[in-house]
Amino acid sequence: MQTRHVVAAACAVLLLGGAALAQNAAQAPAAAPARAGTPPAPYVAPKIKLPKFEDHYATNGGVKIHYVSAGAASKPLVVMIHGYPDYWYSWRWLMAELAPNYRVVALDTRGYNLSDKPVGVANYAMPLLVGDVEAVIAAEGRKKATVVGHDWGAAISWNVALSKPETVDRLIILSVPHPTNMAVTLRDDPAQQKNSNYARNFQKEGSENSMTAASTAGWVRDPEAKPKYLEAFGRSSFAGMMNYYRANYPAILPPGTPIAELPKLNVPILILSGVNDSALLPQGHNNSFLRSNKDVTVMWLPGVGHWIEQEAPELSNHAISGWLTGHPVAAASQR
Amino acid sequence: MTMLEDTTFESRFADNGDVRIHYAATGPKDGPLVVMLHGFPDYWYTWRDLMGALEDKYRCCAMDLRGYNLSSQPKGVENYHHAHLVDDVAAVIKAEGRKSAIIIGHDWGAAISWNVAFRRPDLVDLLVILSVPHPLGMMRELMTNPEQQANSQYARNFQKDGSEDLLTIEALTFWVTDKDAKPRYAAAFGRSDFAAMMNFYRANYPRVTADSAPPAAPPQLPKIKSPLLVLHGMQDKALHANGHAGVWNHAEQDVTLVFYPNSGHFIQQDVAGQANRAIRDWLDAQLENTSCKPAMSSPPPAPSFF
Repeated sequence: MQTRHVVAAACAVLLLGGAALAQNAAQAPAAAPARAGTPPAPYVAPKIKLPKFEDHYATNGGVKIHYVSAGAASKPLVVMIHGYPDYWYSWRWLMAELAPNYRVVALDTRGYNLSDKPVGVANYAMPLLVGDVEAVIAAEGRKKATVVGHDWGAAISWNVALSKPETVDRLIILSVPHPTNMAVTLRDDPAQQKNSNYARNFQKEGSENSMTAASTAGWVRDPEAKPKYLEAFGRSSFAGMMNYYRANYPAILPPGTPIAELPKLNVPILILSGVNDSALLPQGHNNSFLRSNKDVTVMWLPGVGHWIEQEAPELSNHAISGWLTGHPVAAASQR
Repeated sequence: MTMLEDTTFESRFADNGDVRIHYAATGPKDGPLVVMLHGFPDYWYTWRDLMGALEDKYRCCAMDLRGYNLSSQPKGVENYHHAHLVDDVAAVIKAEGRKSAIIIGHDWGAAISWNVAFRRPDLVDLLVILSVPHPLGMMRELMTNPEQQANSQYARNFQKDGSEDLLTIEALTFWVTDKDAKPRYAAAFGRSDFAAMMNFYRANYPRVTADSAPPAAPPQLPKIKSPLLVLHGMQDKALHANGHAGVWNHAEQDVTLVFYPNSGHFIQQDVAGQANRAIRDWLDAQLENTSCKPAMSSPPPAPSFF
């Protein structure tokens, strides 16, 4: 073991090109305290003025999907898809950021808030969720759009891009790895297996019975938003929320099981990952560069957990709007 | 004021002890300062497009590393350790009358940039890395990834005595595809010291191999204190993309990785349009981030050096 220590030290020195620094580093106290362990700072609302929001509905096979828009109909379309447990309002800050230059629309996914809440697991299968997004794009008079998703909305976004590539021109993902990354991580990474236990519990029969609007909105820190969330969850279907997991959450494959490669996408991808996200660990995004024939950008945010667009609205807004500017798309190309 | 070749860039010098560092400068003197560091085999001119993309708002200073082109070329491996290379960057920042800067580095310039962030975090407002993984990621790949081990063989050869005798200007300019740039590169390398180029490898390239025993505990390096942008070309034959995995473990602020499937090692020239755009948009976005603003150094009240 002694030799190993020496080699390790030698490695550090060689990499740094000097012994002095290695010594300093060894003696220095552990860098900044881990933000994960510190109590949350008081909530500070970002200084962002919200735009005027308009309500609309789209229909997919008899299921009515509610969505909210901001920005001019003449601009490039950006569709935003929330996760669990959330509703369109999760995107308010990003909609404010993008509304001057884009037509932004955020949907309530089926089961939530003002969208229909069909009964039964079968009604929450991924192809139907993908169809809901297509319906919103069509309702906006477009053939394609830039798609942004968080949590289940991210899983849906990956699937829209993979199964209906003609409907997506740019893909922005918050928190959920590409399906292949997710399958590999779940198969190989005990930490992610452990952190997916909540999903296994959700899949069990009757998991919705203990849910209330208040418990479901427990994560919401913005005092302005809290009553809105309570109202939205009060008219949502908890069984619908659980059905996403029952119908779609990937199984843990036995070690060594081959995982099929999906076709590479042909759109640029931006991925945002909260390093403190305990539901979806940041390492799941590591080799995302394999997933597209175009450039792939992954941004990791230390000190940020699962709710990226609400925990770090300014940082994520600037990153997303800067990336969109650098990957321009004309509204005409979406019609 | 001396202008460089037929460009609109000024030729300037900074002193680090006896070593004189040449750099090309453009952009407003009161703009956020950007210092750019090229790699092997290259010189300040590699940044010409990026300087053009930033100069309306940013004060851009692209260095000739010691040993290259118009900078001093001290003899001996000991003069090429990271400690000296970091001080060269500090000298340029000081020559511009600033206390800190946005640091952008490619290849050896990236390795130096990482070390500026470790040794002199006070100098770094924002860090932009092209191609070279964080040293701990690089070490992991050298110990475990056969592709990276094979890709690093050239560096082992460079470390050998007399490797500079095998270098020619023609060989060193092989990668320059821009016809207008090629003669400039030939002239710059004609003024450069080949032994110095090899000394970067002898002094600093990690000697870790597959045969090295795994460390009992992960070596510690200071965390990167500034936001970090990393660009990587997926066709890079010298550096494997997997080396960037987990880099967010070594950072206190946001880390952004951009992968270009159609770029090789020389990202700033292979996909200049895309990469320059990504860097510009990222820098602009960072300047907007209120969390970043207090760390940015304010421009000097008056030029303090020239």
